[in-house]
Amino acid sequence: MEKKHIKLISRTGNAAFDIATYIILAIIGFITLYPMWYILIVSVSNAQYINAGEISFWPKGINFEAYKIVFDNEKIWRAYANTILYTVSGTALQVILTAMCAYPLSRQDFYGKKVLTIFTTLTMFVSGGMIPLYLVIMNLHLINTMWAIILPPAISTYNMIVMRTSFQAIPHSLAESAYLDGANDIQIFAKIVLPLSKAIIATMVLFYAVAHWNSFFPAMLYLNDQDKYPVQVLMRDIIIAGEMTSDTGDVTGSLNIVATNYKYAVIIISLLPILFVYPFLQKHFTKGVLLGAVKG
Amino acid sequence: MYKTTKKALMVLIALLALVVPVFAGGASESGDYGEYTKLDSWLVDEPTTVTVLLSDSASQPIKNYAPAQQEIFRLTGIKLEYQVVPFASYDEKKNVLLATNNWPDVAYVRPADLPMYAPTGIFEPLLQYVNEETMPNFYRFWQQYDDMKNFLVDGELYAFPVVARDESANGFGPVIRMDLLKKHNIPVPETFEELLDVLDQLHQIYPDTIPFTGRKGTTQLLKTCSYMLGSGYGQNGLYYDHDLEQYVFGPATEEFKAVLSWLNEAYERGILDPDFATSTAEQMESKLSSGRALFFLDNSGFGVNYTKALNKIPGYEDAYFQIIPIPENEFGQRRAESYAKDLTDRFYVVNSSSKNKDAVIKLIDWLYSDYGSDISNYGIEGYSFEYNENGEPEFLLSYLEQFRDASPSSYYAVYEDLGITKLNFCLYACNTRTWFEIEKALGNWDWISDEYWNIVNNDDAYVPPKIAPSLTTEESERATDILMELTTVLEQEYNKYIMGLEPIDNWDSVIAHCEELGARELEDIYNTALARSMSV
Repeated sequence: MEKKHIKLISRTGNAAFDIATYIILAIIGFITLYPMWYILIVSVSNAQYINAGEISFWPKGINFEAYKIVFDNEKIWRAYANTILYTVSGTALQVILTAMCAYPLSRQDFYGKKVLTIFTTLTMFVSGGMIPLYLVIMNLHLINTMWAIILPPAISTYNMIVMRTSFQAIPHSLAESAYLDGANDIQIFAKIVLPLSKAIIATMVLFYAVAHWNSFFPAMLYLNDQDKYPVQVLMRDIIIAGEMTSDTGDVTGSLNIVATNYKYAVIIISLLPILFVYPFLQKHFTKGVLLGAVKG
Repeated sequence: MYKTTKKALMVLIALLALVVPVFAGGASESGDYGEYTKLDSWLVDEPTTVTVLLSDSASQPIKNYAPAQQEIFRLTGIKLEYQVVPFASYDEKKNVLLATNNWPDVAYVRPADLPMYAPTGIFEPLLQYVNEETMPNFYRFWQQYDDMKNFLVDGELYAFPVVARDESANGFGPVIRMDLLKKHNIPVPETFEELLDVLDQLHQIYPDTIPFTGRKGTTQLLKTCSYMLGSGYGQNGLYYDHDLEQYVFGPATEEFKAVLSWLNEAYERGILDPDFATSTAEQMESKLSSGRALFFLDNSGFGVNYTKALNKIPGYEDAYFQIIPIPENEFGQRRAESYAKDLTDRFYVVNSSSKNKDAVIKLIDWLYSDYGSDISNYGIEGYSFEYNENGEPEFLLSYLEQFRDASPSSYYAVYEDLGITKLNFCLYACNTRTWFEIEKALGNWDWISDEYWNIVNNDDAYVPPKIAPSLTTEESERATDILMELTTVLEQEYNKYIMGLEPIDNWDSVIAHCEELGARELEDIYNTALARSMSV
C-alpha cells in the first residue's frame, strides 16, 4: 500500500516535472520563433495594417508586393549569387585547411606540437586590428577580390581546437596499423581520419557556412565594386536606410520610407537558405560538438 | 565512403577552379566610355581617368558610366570612375581608406573629417589653386560666400564644398493634421502655448490618439524644438545663436528652462507621447501614417509622405499634414533654423598623392561653372534637357515620362538614371530645384506640396545654419573632452525634468554643474575660433 503510494507520488512528481519542462520549453520556443514568424507575416502584410500596428500573430491584407519588388531588384540577385559563391568556396577552403591544421596537432608524435599550439592559440586573444589587417590584405593585392573575403578567416582557431580534440578521440592504434600496411600520413588523414570524422566536419561546415553567410564587414571593407557585394551588405543598407534619414537635408523633406514589409522580405529571403541547412546537419551537429568537447 | 569523400573533394576543387579565374585578378567593372573625339573644350591632352570615392543611398544608387558621366568625358576628356560605398557603411570604409592612405583621387567627406585627417598630409592643400587664373569658377563662389573661410583648417583649405543651386531649404518645423483643425474650426496656433491648447483640444476629441510624437528619443526632441522655444541644442548642446551672434551651450542657460517647462507641460497634459524617450524613427512613422498621432516637430518635409500613406487608409482620404508658421515662444521670438541653403555639408577632398591632381583641379573648377553644373544636374542636352528661352536648362518631358511611376519617386529615379545632382559627384548642385521641376512636369505636384513650400519660403522665422568654424587640433580635443563629460551628466537629467520628477527650479544646480565641467570654456573655444576665421 505504502509502495503504491510512493509510486503514485513519484509518478505525479514526474508528470508535474514534465509539464513544467514542456511549459518552459514552449515559452523558450515561442520567444525564439516569434520574431521570425513576425518578420514573415509582416513581409506579406499590407503596409496600412503594419503602420497601424495591427499585425501581431497573423498577416493582414496578404500580398506579395514586397517580394515582387525584391525579386525585381537585379542588384539583390547578383549579391545573392555572390553570397552563395563566397559561402560555398569559403566554407570548402576553411574546412579543408582547418582539418589539415588540426590533424598534425592532434598527433602525440608530432614534433613541436606544443609550441605550435601555443602560437595558434595566442591568435585567439591577440589580433593586429582592422587597419594593420587591411594593410596586409592591400599589400597582398587581395583588395577587391573574393580572396580578401575567404582567406583571412580561413582557419578559426576555436574551430581548429574543437576539430583537433575530435581527431584525438580516434585511437592512435588505427594509424599505427595503417603504417604497418604501408600507408603514409596523408593517406591516413584522407582515408581513415576524415571518413571517421563526418560529424565534426558537418559541424565545421555549419559553423563556417553560417559565419560566411552572415558576414558583411569584410565585404564592405575589402570589396570596391558593388557587383561583388554579398547580400548582407545590401540588406544592411536597406534596413538602416530608414533609421539614418538625414537631419541635414541631404534628401530634403523626403523621408525615404523603406517600407517595413520590403525590409522584412529581404530578411526572409536572405535567411531562408541557411535556415534550411540546419535540419539536415543537425544530427551531426550535436554529435560533433560533443566529440570536440570530451577533451579540452 | 572513401569514394564519396573523394567525389566531394573533386567537386569542391572543380568549384574553386571555376571561381578563381573570375575573381583572382580583381575583375574590372563592366562597361566603358567607348569611342571618343577630342573636342576643343577638353581640359586635358589625353583621356584621363579620375577616381572618386562616393557614398550612395538606397533611394539614389550610383552607377558608373551614367549619361552625365559620359557627357562629362565627351566635353572634358576626363573619365570619372566611381568607387561607390553604401551609405550605411560609408564612414567605416572611408575611415579605413583614409587611415591607410589607399583612396582614389577624390573622396567625399564630412566636415568632421577635415580637422581629423588634414594634419596627416593626405589631403591636398587647396588655397594655392584658389585664384582667378587657376580656378575662375570656384573663385567666384569663394568671393561670394564669406562663410567659406570657416572651412579653413589651420589657415588652409583642404576641401571643396558643394554649393547648392537654387535650393529651397526647409528644416525642423511644427507639422499638424490640418484637416482636423479645419474640421473642428480650430484656428492655427500662433504661440507655443496655443499649440499645446490646440493639441489638448484635439486629444479631447480623439482620446485614443497620441497628439505629439517624435523619434530617436529625448535628444532628438531637444534638437528639434529647443531653438524655436528660445534656447538651443545644436547636435549636442552647443549651438549658434543667431540673435546673440555667438555660440552658446544651450542646456547651461536660463532660457533652456523654458524648453524643459514647455515639454514638461506637454507631458503632464498627456499631449507628448508617453514613449517620447525611446521612440524610434519607425515608430514615429508608423504612428503618424496610420492616424494614431496628430503632430510632430521634426523635419517638416516628412509630412508629405505621411499624408500619402494616410490617404490610402479608408476613412482618411482627406486627411493631411501641413506645416504651420513657426509659433511665437514665451520670449516673444519667432525663430527657427533651416537646413543648409547655399553651402551644404558635403565636401570633396583631393588626394595629395594623386598622379592626376592637375586634371582633378581643372575638372572640379569646370563642375563649379554654370555649364558644368547644367551637365552634372541635367544630363545630356537634347537627350534629357534643353535650354529654354531664358537660357536655363529644363528637363525634356519625353525623357521624364519613363519615370512617371518609378520607385521610390520619379525624381530619384531620374537622378539615378542620369547620374546627377547633389548625391552624385556634383559641385554646384541642384536638389530641390530639379526635384520640383520633375514632379511638376510629371503632374505629381499637389496643392499640399505647393502650400507647404509657400509656408516655408514665406516664413521669415527661418535662418540658414551657421557654418561651424574649424578648430585647431588642441581646441578640438579639449572641446571633445568637455562635451563628452557634459553629455554624460546631462543625458541623465533631461527626462527627470520633462516628466516632472524634478521641479524646474532645480535646473539651476544643473547649470552650475555644467559650468564646473567647462560649459563656458567650450563656448569660448568656439567663439574664439569663429572670430579667428572671420579675421582671415
